[in-house]
Amino acid sequence: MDSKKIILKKLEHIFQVIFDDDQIKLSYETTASDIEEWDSLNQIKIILACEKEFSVKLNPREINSFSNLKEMVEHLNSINTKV
Amino acid sequence: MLFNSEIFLFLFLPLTILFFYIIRLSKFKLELLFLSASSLLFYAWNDPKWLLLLLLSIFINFLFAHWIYKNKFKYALELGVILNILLIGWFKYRYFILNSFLENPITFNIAIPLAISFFTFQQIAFLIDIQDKTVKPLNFLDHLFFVSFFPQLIAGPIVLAKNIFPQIKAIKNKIKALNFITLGFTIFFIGLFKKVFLADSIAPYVTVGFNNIYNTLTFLEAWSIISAFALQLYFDFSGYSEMAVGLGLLFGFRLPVNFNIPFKSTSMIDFWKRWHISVTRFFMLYVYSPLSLYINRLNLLPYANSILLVLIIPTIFTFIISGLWHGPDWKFIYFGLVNGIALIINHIWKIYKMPRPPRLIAWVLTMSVVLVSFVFFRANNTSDAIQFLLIMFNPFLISLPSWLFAYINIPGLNVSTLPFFATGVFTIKFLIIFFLSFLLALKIPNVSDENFKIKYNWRNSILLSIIVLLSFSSLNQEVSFIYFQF
Repeated sequence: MDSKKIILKKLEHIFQVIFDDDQIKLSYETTASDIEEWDSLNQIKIILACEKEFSVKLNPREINSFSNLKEMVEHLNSINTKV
Repeated sequence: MLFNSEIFLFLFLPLTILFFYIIRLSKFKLELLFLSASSLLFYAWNDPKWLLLLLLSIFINFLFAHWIYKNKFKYALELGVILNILLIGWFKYRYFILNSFLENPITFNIAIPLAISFFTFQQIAFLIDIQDKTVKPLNFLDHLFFVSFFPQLIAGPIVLAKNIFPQIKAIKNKIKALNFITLGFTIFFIGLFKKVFLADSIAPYVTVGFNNIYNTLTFLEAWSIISAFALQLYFDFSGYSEMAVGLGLLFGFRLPVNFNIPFKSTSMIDFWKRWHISVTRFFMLYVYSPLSLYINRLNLLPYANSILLVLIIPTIFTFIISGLWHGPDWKFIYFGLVNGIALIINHIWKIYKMPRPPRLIAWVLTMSVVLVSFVFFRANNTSDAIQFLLIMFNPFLISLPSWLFAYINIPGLNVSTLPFFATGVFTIKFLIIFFLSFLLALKIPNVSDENFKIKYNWRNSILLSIIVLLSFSSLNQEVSFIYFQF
């Protein structure tokens, strides 16, 4: 599996835990508005979980400016050293 | 200058539009220079002395933007943000801060420079964005325009650099299609109607109500008065914001949405996604999120993601700051705290998957919290607010007005002369205005949303004509906007 797909899979798991919903399936096209419970609190939890999972430091404003998950995956892929 | 003043509507705005389009059609790229000069005139009209302060703030931030970008020295961002806070601290909060340390507070009545909260916060966000490398600094004229553009200068919406810079570029290169004139005027007039017809019709009733706090006000009166104030504030500020969006469109700029039918909210989380959106977004992106991340990265607690560190501490801090942002008074801190605590309860409710109350109960609960917070917002000071809340939460203070006694007599209920519902005519007029306004607050669509499209038909053109006529006939009052004081 290429690194971007691994990142997406790991993100999916993070989202499932944070939103407490095993049914969440992520794709590159997923946006914040696709997930009803997405709010500023959950966004912080996602960032903290990603920072732990991928050993990176994320900027909340940058995450906020992504238009879909593809941009987030690409961003993580570009800065991540531990996929 | 106020958007609802005759000088603005009949002289400043028509002339600005006329000259803007003359320049637009010419080969000269002077649009931004012209709009900036007009904006400075607009700002200086009533109180020219603050123009120097505005220009000083713009100049300081222009310099810091370049220094931060070029990494001129360490802590450039921190210094830039501190300078902005010192500026607003001195001009808006000096007596408030001083009084916090004094045993006998001094009474103060400082004139707060117009729009200082808005241009300061917009530029703080800009400096942080430059540090983030999401935007580049501008040349001086573009920076001047970005801050001073008159539709958004005085009371927002707070414009973020990344949203407005592409638009500035398009206007400069004359490549932007300017086909929003009709839409711009429509949105502007709907905003004007909300302000001069709706908000200003409710305002006198609210004033009478709050003047009678210590005059045996009763339970039902207090709830009616604060509900009326909620409508007044909504029409006043969403009206202002829509005028700003409409004006922006007249010159080819799309400004952000500030309100989205907030009184439909059935939770506090929902309410804060719909009320004063541009400022909420500012506090979310530039205060809450960085603070929450910062204290969580410190790993102070043995278990990660604790509610205390992710939610409670950063939310309380953010809402205290956002409350204080409204003005140098403890009542605004309480306004923030009520909202912050309610928002935390809402999140905890969701985290522990407690049952969602029925829609109507959820709505009543949400609106009650909002109204309680608005008591602090509207009252002259904290002790007035507490007195008002004591009436709101004492159902034993129900009393029927004596004029009603002639028609209805419910055994067991008190009857007395009421200060607010004093006469039948006054009460009925109030109730009609209140319920009509409430209906309109729910029914008027969010016209400043990007997806809003006008349907060109007879019904809408007649409606718009009525709105314009009613607005112009109410113009002579020229009441200032509530958010101008911030």
